[in-house]
Amino acid sequence: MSRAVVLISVVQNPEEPLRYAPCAFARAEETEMLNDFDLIALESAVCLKESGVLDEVVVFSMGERRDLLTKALAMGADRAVFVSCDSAVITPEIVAAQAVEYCGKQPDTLWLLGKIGVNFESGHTAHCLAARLGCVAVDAACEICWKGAGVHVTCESEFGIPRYDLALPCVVTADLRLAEPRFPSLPSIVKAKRKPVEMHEYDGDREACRSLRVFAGADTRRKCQFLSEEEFMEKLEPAGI
Amino acid sequence: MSEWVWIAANDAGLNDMAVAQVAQISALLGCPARIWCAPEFESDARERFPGLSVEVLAQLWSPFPDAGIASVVNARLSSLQCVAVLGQHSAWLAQSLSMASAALREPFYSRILLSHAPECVRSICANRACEAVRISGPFMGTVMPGCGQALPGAWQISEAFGSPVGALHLPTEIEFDEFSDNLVSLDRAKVVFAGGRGLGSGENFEKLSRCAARYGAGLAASRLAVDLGWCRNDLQVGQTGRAVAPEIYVAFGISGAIQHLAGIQNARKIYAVNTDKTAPIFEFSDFGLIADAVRVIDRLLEKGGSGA
Repeated sequence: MSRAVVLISVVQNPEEPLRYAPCAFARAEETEMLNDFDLIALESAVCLKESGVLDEVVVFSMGERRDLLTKALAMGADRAVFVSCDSAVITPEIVAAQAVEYCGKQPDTLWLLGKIGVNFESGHTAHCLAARLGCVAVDAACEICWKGAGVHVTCESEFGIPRYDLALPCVVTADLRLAEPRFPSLPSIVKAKRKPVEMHEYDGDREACRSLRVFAGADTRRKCQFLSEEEFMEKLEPAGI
Repeated sequence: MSEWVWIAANDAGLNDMAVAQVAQISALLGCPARIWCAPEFESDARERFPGLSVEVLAQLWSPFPDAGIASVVNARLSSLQCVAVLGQHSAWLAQSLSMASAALREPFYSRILLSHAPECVRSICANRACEAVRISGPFMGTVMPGCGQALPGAWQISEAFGSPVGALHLPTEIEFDEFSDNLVSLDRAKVVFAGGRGLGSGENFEKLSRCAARYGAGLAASRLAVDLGWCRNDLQVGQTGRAVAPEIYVAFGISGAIQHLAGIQNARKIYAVNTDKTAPIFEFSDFGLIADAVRVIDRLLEKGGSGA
């Protein structure tokens, strides 16, 4: 039977004020969380497992927050693989290489992850992963159905709706409308603490930071002039309105 | 003789900003640009980039990032001494170049801000933060609108792209429902009307759509409007949707989540209509109106317009 491997990244909450260290975001445990898009991918994998087409759902993650994986396990993943390293070192190429090394032995695998991480927004990990596995990657899926020995994926793009039939292994990235991540119940959180988590140490260069530096962008706030309805309509006149 | 490639697969890669960016990047990399364009833009490309090699690649423009650009890029690169492949940022170009560079095992940097030269800086975290990355070899990337100083040789790259490691695996799409575009293109619209949750229903969004058509304005939406099924996903503006830079952007019933704001910060003037005066959109707009968006739309519809 087939299985899914879901890559999950840890991000600084984009709703909270950001703080900066020399070559990374300043670590702030209370505002770190699992990437929304990756949780959407995980939810879709768990739903496929619950419908009986997948044997197991494995989550793969890297960094310093092994404890955050409890939520992923509580949402329905069966086990986790965690590579411990400094979060400032993590790049898409490294994630892809480590994921293939520790989870890549089985060919019948559906690889899922979010289409971007909300911090670094590279969108590159899926393609690095597919290049290493020698398989196809499709972006921005909004629907995944099981079809015989593979998956039927519907994606969203700005030019239309492409639909693919893909054999396993393949890499699919999740877009916003693929699934609504569930809130794990308290009993499932308790059970999650007993699920196996395979721990590894990152064996590459532990000093090579991903970025030279990370800093605040330009302030894009504007001074808003509140107008009455008449004035507002008048202001729109230059545009032919 | 090294060179780098600028992809002008549609007219965003040929506008005034693009010409300035190509000049700046050529200076930074210390070598000339080669322009790749789709057949329908050949004469435009030759006119805007006199003196540069312009190559027409028929499959460069394809609504499928997967089928078109990545394989064309990698096939063509093997016979050039190319140190970088860049283009204007858009989701489809970013996906294609990400795929192409992954097959070549070279880095991919999206959303580069040229205003920070000599550093190579990416815009991250919904345009709230920046990341400086090191250029140590050939790379592919996309650039955001905006230009900076042309500092010669600041991004010196000594090697060119090599051959792909393994074959590029492309999906075989079985169906593609292409959007036949009757709407004013968001990339070219001078005025954009956008609707969000404050409109309340699909019927009201439909009213906004008629209003935009009446005035020849582009139509956009927040994520919620798309989630609720009021409109197609290609109208979504924001961090993972489209980025627009019109003269005037009018947000009807949009609260102003940071993900949405990331897509509109290059608009010249932002107008917001919302019943909630504490909505975050008002911190990022030039003119605000505390009113029911639907009523304002009704008024605009009554007023009629010259429309394009």
